[in-house]
Amino acid sequence: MNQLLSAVINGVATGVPLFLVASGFTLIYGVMGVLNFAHGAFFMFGAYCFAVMLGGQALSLPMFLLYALGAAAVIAVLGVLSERLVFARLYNSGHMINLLAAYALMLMLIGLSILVFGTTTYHVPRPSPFKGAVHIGTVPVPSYNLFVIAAGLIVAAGLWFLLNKSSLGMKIRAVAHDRTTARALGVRAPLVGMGVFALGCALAGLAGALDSPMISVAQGMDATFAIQFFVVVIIGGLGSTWGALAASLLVGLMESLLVYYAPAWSQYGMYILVVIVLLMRPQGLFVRGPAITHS
Amino acid sequence: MSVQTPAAPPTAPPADLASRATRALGRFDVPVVMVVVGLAVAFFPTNLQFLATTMLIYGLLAMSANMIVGWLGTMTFGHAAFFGAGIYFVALMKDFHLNPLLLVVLAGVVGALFAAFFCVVTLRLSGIAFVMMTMVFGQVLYLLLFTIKKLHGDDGIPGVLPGKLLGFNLLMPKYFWWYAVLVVGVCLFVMRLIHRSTFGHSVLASRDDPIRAAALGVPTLSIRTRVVILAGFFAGVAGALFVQQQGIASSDTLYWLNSGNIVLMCLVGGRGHFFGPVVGAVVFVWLNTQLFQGINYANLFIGGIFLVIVLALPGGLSGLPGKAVDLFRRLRSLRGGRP
Amino acid sequence: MLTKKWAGAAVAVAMVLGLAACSGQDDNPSGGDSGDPITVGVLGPISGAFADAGLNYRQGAQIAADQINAAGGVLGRQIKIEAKDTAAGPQEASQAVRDFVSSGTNFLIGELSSANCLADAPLVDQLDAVFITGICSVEELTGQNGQAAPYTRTFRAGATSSANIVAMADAIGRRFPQVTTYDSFAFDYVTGHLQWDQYVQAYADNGKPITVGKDLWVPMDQQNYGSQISVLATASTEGEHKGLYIGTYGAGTASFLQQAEPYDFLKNYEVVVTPGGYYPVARDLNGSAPLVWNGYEYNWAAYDTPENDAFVADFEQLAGKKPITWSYVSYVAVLAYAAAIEKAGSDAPEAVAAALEGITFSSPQGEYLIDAVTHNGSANIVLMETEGDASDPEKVKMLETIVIPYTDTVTFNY
Repeated sequence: MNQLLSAVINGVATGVPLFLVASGFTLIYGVMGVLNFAHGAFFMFGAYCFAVMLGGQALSLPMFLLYALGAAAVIAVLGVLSERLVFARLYNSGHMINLLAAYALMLMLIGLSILVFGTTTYHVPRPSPFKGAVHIGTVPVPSYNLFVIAAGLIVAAGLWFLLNKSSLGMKIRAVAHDRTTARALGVRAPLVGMGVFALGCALAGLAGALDSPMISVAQGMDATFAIQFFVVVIIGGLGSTWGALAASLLVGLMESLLVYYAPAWSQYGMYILVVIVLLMRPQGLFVRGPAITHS
Repeated sequence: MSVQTPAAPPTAPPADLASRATRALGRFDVPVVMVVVGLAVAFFPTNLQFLATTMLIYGLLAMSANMIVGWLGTMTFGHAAFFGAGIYFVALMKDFHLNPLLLVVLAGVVGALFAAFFCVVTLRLSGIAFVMMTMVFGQVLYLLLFTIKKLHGDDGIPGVLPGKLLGFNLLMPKYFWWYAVLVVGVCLFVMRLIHRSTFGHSVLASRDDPIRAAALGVPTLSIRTRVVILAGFFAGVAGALFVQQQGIASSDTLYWLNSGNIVLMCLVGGRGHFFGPVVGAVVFVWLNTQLFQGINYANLFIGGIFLVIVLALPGGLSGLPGKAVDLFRRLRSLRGGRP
Repeated sequence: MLTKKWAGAAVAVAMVLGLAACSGQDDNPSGGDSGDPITVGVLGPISGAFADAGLNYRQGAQIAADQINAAGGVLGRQIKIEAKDTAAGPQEASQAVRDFVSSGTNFLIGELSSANCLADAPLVDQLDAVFITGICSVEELTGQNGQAAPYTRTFRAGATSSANIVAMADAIGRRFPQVTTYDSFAFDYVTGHLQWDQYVQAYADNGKPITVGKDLWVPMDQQNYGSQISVLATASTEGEHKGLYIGTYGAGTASFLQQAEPYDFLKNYEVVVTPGGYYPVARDLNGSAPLVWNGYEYNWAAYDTPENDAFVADFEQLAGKKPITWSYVSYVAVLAYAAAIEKAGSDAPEAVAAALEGITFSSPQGEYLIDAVTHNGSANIVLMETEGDASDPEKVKMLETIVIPYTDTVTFNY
């Protein structure tokens, strides 16, 4: 029972950081139809910026959050630049061209990160109040992980509120659903597109900053979540924030349970999940209606 | 202002020697290009022959992927799986000392079998679900390289000797080059024939307008299956050549990013042009292993080059000569006044 | 359109020919005049996840070249270091070897990854070049147990993986005789399994078999170890006389230690041990590295010789930090080439390779020997106890260093 509880808690602790990173990715894909291959690179850049800003000191919580938002803002700017210079021109060019563009952008960001930050590994200490672990029952859980879970839930709620309850959200959903009609109705689609891309990248940057105390900030970090983004989009379904959250939790739980009960299969868990979803319900678990194949 | 006389009805092209020769050249463009390139590279120093061979093999691999990306119009993130099937098959056969050409053909069959299996699994999928499955398939095979101890995971299987063909030791780059030219040339020629056949036309039809094609009785699903199996065959052949040249089967060839690279070669070279993927492969290999060698932030420039290609030449690099010809014609008409 | 197609084909051919023009080199030019520098080619990662390791490696080689050149060079000629990036894998590595040889660089050192080494070694034999590796731990590159070296032109100026592991097991076993159970956390790859098996086997061979508690394997391209760490954290309690074996490396080890920190369970183990290049990881943790025992081939405090002092001082001046194993093995490799070229009196690869067999030369660890039959270098194993210290310029305190001399490692039967 203890093991199960531990596995579940760790699954959530793995899933929510994944959601933090994947939320931006699903947002961009859902609204603009662009599979942002470079998303992992934005994530890595955010972590690097944050690490450099901190300079190895352990901060108080408010300062930590401030710097994290600062890193997110930097990445948002990078996102705006990318969108204006690259994706805005390729909106009507089809998926493959956009994919090539995203890949090229990813390479440039990776090269830029070596040029700017060098080849050393950066270490980001946890903020002062969250250095240890608390016990849920008899299961130890690092308090920083709980903080990240809380942050993730706040982001999820915020995104949901933005997309579903605000007028901006209505415009975003209109553009996602039918860009031409939205424009005809007066929605400034290019501005919305730029805003969504910036927000998606900001989320990636924020995720990079918040995740950095838990993983090495070094080259190769961008590949950590690369496949998982795609998996979350498939399982969660297009355009659904809660779907992305649920999918991330599912992936995290699957892996965590397998590590406890069937370690030899733990790497395959994610793929097994995807295959099951693809064969049973290709439009995703949390979306109603037939599959939007975005052909 | 003159009265427009109705256009004369179209007649058959004049059957004189010049146009017949041109048509024949058009049909045999693959062998001619292969012989010309083959001869050119034969005079290169050894290390460049080796590089050219690698480019040629990747060219074949990209051509096989283009059957899915260009002809079918579908993304794939798992093409490296069929490439890897060919690689590891030949590597596992290294102690049997079989004829290299035989191994190549068998590797192609192995690639086709993997492709067939993949098709069976994805029969009911399309769109992004299909693309996702290609990635899953590729990654599962990659992970199996580590799970199945016989495949040696990241150490790979070294010591794969290409053997001898007609008395020529293929270990020498200059002989291997001609061997590769032969195999790749035959494959490209066959691809050409397929592309021009009715089957090829129905593939392009079902890509360009699936609904109309279906209405016309084109069996879309079985076309996709057949194309994927063919693509798997040629990818397996490329894999066999690759491991025969490199001498070692390594796991990184199956990683999904490598599958992404293969599609990139198609896109950079131009998936609408027949030789496009080969051009893409040459540029890709050259950028990654030669140009910017030794700069640790080389990716910045490589990515930049790709970005420029995407923005300026969305049809790929092989659209460049066409654009140049058009530009030249326009300049000429501006100057001469004659349309 | 026929014109466009032919134009396309013509472009392809032109590109191929253009390539030749751009990188036009002679096939194996003969060694230059006596005034020309002798180039040593470094094969290793310049970009990618191991760029930092590759940088340390190149810096070590550069220090050796600078020192030799300052003392007059080799046969009156200067040594030049040139590097090629092999991060992409064996295919890039074999192209790099060919490109080096084609441009006249026949003396090669390097490689971090086993697959690359396995691709390079037979190629070097074929191409009449020489290759000295220090980091590739795969056994098959040189002769084992007194057997002749399988490749005539490949030499090892470093330790084999088994020598490293067995020496560690022996020394740790003696230092911590009460530890009879081990948990392990390692990367799921060939070397990872091999090293863990060798570690366990070494204890058994010494007559003190250990019991394996939890052994956890993680895929190499993954960095989220929360589940595994939970398992370990709840499986161990203080005072149990358990040991922890960490079989990850680089970013993996760093992430593991970072994620393990809040659980504070490493103190439950009487000893935490890890093989390989751990010191740079400890350094990067900026003072928060736990108490760890690490076995590898070198640390800056291992030798109290004027040679080592000079090496450490010169390296610190070039790199701004102390040298590590990766810097040391390349330094030794270049020293080996210099000594061999002097001994052979020529820069012909065949002569130099013959001279390398049985050569002795002076190094920071004393006299270094490369065995004539096995091609193995007399690499010591250095066991070091380190702990993070934010006030130290290196951010790591070197608590204790134990040198296990080569002659002792050779007696282990493996």
